[in-house]
Amino acid sequence: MYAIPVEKDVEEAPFRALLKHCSGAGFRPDQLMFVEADKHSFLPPPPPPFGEGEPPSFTMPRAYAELLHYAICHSSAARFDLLYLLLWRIRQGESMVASNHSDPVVAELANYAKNVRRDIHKMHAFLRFRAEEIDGRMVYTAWFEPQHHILRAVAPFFLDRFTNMDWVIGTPEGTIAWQDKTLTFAPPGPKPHASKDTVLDDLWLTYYRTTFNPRGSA
Amino acid sequence: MPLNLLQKLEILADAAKYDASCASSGGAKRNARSGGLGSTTGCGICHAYTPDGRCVSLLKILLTNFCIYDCVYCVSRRSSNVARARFTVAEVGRLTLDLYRRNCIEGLFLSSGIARSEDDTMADLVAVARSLREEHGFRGYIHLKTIPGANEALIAEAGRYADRLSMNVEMPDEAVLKRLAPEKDAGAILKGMAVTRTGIDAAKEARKPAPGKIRRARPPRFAPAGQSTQMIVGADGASDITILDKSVSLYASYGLKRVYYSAFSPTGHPSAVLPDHATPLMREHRLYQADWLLRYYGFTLPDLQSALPTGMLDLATDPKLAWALVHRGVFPLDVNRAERALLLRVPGFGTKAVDRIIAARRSTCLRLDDVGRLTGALRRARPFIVTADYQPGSSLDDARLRERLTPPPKQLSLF
Ligand code: SF4
Repeated sequence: MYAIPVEKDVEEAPFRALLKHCSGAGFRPDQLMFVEADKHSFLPPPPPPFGEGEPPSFTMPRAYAELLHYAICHSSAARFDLLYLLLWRIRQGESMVASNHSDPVVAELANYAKNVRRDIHKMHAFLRFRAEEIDGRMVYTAWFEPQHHILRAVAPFFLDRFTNMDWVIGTPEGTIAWQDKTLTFAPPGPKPHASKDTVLDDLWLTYYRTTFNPRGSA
Repeated sequence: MPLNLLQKLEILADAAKYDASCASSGGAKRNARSGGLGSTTGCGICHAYTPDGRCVSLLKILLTNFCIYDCVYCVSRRSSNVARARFTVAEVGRLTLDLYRRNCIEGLFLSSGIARSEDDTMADLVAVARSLREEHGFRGYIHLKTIPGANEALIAEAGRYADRLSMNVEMPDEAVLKRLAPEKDAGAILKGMAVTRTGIDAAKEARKPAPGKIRRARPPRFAPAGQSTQMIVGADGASDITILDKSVSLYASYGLKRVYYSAFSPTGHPSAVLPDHATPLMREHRLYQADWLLRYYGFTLPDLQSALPTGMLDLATDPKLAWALVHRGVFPLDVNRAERALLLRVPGFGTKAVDRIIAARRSTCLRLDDVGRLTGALRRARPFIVTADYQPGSSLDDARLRERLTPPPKQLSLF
């Protein structure tokens, strides 16, 4: 039995390549354990030439690719093993299984995917920027603590929307910054103390308080 | 003493909250990668929830709550003694952009009292949208109210800047509208909605590439997120079936995206013609459920009617369950065989669960546990289905089925 280290916020393309290497090497799911790269494992990695060269090329069914897209961001340590298990079953001939949500493995992965989508949606919705003047320019800063590994997944939304602003989003797992029209991912910084922003602290709160359902008060 | 911006906001957000819509969904996707500020994703985002579960998506305000009309159900009517205020075009622009940059809102929902004339009011609303789009490059969501009786050219201009337009029909019955809102003209409301529909349809048509022609510059958009309307529920004696019947004809005639139902609440001043108590929110909720069944579940008005002997939706039972209880002969349905249209009638099965059942049964024969993984509401569906390993037995005939399936009242969350 081998341990395969994976970065916990692994990107989709390298992880798909890794799955294909495993499948190409003929490993059964019970011969492998995927471990998050910062966790220790007593099991050895597969011996060379595992992972060298191009992985075998085959297409993953669309329903599988859709599950994988979100499920790899989930915080559960089991996500990589389940994804490999499902791929292995597909390669063994259960070609339709990823569309069968009554299958317990598919149901579990679909549930991961749903939670991740919800987390992404929450970060899009509930993150708030505070405007701060830093070195003579306006920078919008935010701090958010998502439940899953979604920092890369949320970036396009903020990029599409706030292209003409400079902004920095901090999370316990990493930082994204958009400055001078360049996007950078960086290691986490300390949680900043919230600076005063009259629009958020006065205007927004006044609006929120006022827009309540009339029926309670009238 | 002139009001400051926060004081105006307090007055004009308060006056705007009677509009139920806060949706920022629908329409084309846009982003700011090539300039400007803002995006629309096609599906709305609620940036906050009020304590009673309502979505806060847009900055929803009136431009002014001065009004020369005297609609009895409205707090802003001319005979009401509320505090009055008026925003300038620049103030609304600044509020919208400031809140948008902090990611508090999806955009602006702007309505207005009729301070001078219908045309002046419409022109002011258009001026705000024009300034946001053209001076500030704003690409977020804009919902504008259109004013019945306003010049068609102004509505056409509103359509160029707004994602969504809406005009409220207010009452299902025109005679009641005449009585409660004497200055409102039901004919002008329908004409306004027709003008908007024509604009939307024409823009859609013009954007289709002509066969065999080289594509030219795309014609301007017109309210790409469509139009909606609102009815007040419970201010008059109209039954739920009357209201739904009106909705069905409104959806068909004006290509509406949504009809909103707003439960009536007294405005704080006693009135001889209005009820003195608020309409229960549950009634509003049941109307939305029935509206959903009509639009997405293949139910017809006579279907619903067959389960509503009094013409009123049952507050204790959702309308789909109410229908199923009256039509027990249709059930139980075999989830491994029944066609989609019938599965959609099973209480507890949403459209998504039905699609998953149909996808799953291509590769397996569904057992009860499997169905439990496909819907979150197996308990409700159980008496109405057959699976490979399960029959409901006599529970369908159980006289107490309704009680068993009707959950005890709990805090509502509205969609
Ligand atoms: S026109 Fe009627 S509903 Fe509209 S603000 Fe004036 S009084 Fe209220």
